Amino acid sequence: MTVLIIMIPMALLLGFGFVVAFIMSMKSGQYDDLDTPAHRMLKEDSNGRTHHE
Amino acid sequence: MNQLAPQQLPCLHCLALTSAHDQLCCSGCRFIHRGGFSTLRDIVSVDSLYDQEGIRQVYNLSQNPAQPMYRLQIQGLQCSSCVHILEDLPLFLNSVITARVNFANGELLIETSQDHSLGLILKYLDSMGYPAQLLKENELADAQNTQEDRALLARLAVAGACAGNIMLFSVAIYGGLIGETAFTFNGISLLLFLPVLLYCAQPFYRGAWNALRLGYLTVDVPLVAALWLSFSASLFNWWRGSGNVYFDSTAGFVFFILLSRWFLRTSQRRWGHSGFSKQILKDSIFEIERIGEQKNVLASQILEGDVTLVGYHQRIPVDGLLMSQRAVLDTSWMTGESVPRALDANMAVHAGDKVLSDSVLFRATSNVQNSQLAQSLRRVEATSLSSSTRMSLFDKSAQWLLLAVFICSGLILLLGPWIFGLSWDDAFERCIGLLVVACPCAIAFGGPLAYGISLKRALEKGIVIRSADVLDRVLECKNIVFDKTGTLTLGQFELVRQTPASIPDWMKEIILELEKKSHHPVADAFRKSWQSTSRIELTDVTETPGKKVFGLYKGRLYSVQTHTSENSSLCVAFLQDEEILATFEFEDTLREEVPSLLAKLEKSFTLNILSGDRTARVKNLLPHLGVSFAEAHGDLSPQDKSRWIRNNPKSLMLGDGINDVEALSQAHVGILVQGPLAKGLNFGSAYFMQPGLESIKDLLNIARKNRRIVHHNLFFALVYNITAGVAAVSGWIDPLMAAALMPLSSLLILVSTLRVSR
Repeated sequence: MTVLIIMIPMALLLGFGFVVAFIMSMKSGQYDDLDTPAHRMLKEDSNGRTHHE
Repeated sequence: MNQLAPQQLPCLHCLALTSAHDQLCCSGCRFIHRGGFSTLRDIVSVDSLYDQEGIRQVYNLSQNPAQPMYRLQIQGLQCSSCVHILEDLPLFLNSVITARVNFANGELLIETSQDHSLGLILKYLDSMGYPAQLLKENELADAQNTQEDRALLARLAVAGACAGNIMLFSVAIYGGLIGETAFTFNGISLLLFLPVLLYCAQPFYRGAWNALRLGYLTVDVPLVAALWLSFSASLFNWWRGSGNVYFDSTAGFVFFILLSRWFLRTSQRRWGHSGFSKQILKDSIFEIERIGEQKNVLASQILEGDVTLVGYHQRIPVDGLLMSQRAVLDTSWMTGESVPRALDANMAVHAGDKVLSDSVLFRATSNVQNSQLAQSLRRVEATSLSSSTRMSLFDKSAQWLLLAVFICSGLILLLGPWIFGLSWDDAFERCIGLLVVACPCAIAFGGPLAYGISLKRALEKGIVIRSADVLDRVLECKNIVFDKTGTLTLGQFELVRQTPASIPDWMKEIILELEKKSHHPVADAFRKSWQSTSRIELTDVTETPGKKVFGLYKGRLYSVQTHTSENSSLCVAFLQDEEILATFEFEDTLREEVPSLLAKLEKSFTLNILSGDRTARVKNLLPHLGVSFAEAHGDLSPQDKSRWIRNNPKSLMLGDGINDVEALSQAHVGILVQGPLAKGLNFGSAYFMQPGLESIKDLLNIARKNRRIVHHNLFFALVYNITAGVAAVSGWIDPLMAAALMPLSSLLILVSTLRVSR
């Protein structure tokens, strides 16, 4: 069971890392607007405009 | 699923439902479907006022002078095409470097090059079909809200991570781990639980404290109690090395509840700004003369005594005295009067009046802050803030349920040892078991979620709702009260009667030619009814705004002038020399959907009309509506309206003008049918983003469905609580079962609630 002494801190550190990453992305404003990206991703590349013309 | 209203068809491009005549839902779709906008060459006149340094400074949000940044409020956002087209703005306009849309708030953020022309950008957006308004820094609604959103999201993330990790260590214990390692594992769980207890749960502490201070019980109170009781019990049991440890399930319910609250919070749209009426008038620019010096200023910079020029179709920003010889003003916002008023020099004009004659000079006698309009809005805001803490049906029912659970667990703890012969230890254990298992999750989680989903659905239908409890209150209303001008009617005139019944073409030609340059609503109504076929030339055409217009043709004098009619509708006469050849009567156009809508509403509500317009005009309208009204009043002042509302407490009111707002803010449910206006105001219960009244039907449907789901959830919570509660009290629930039951109940609530969105 001694392996737990390494594995548990590793698991916790990994989890902690993800929380930090999430909070960083949140601070950069990634989750402030959750509606527009859903529309944005439907857009063709901007040169795809010619397709319609 | 809802049936399509007959006039709603899928948009030819994006399939969103639309009632537009060309079956394209928005300008973006129109562009892509037809492949072409007006180009820059088509834009002839640009409002250069926006390009003066002083005014640019007011709106520029960027610190970097090389890259100015502006935030615009955009009207007419409908679907993805709008986002695409607006974010492609840099392709159309070289001076725009980036453009980002915030769909939910209806905002566009642009960065521009230094040599940009704001006037051109605004004009271009307008020609694309997206009228835009610049926002100032202090009007950015959500700087603080964004902070709060983010804080809640951070708590949610930490709670999720901790709950997940605690789960990992608990599984081993459920699997039968004992002894030293179990002690260590539970110790790690305890460490992971501390952030949940001390950081993530803070909103509950604040809510519970506020509730206790004001002397009522909300979900927060038992939540906090359960949280701390289960924490202390777990701590105690962990330390002595026997008994149950509840870190996993407690962290789990904190996470679930935070999740549902975050969802409800993001479903509620930002409503108005603190402060008042900013967007209504302050944003426009006016030409003024101050102590012999001419300059352009924002409405908010106008001072008492400034001579101010207001152009055609602009709204007068402050109260004042008219200096032009004559002016025609649409005063329907302030008074509800549908027929425009003609004023002579030195008469008083009021903030909010719209100019219908060419342009008008007046001397300001107030500034934006102390005009009558501002004062009445401030009064309304003061009353609406005080009445904004109402509890939703869910909160109320939850209260009783929670109180019951609370009392039960208290009784077990106190009476268990004596009556049932339990050991103190056992009694405490069962009391905690009841609180943790039976108490808060199903209720605290299901409520916000159901309301959140309903609010989101309402938003998809173009209904912005102030707070969740409006959904309950809509269903408590017995009366529906309509304003007339602008609500039941469009506030635009149409030709309804003429004598003689058929007008020869030559007369039409002359009338159209006479009215060619006029902005009076009568001129618009003539143009709408008749198509000009040939061109004739009149000489010496002269207009006295609001009174008459005359001109010469083949040596004879022709004129169109106001005429009296017996039923006080708007009436004009056509004269050749001094002889009347024809008379025309105009009435405010009824909204197309109104008669069928009223027929439906009549079944479940008592209908009333409260109008500031003349009583005779209200009476004229009644036969066209096709339903009977309990009461229909005209000639009401804003105070009369609010008095009526106070006397009829369960009323839902629909209105559009400033003269309605006092009554709207006091109504059980007050709805503004003019979204762009409502967005800047901080009162009322809801507003419609789409023109017209159809949305009231959607609102009622959504509210009814919401109530059904909430009832189901409450019923389920009750059954679950009783079953699990009895099990906990009798000591049948072991930790593994508790751990399984918690998420299972949440899952069931989730499934039951998600039916709202179908």
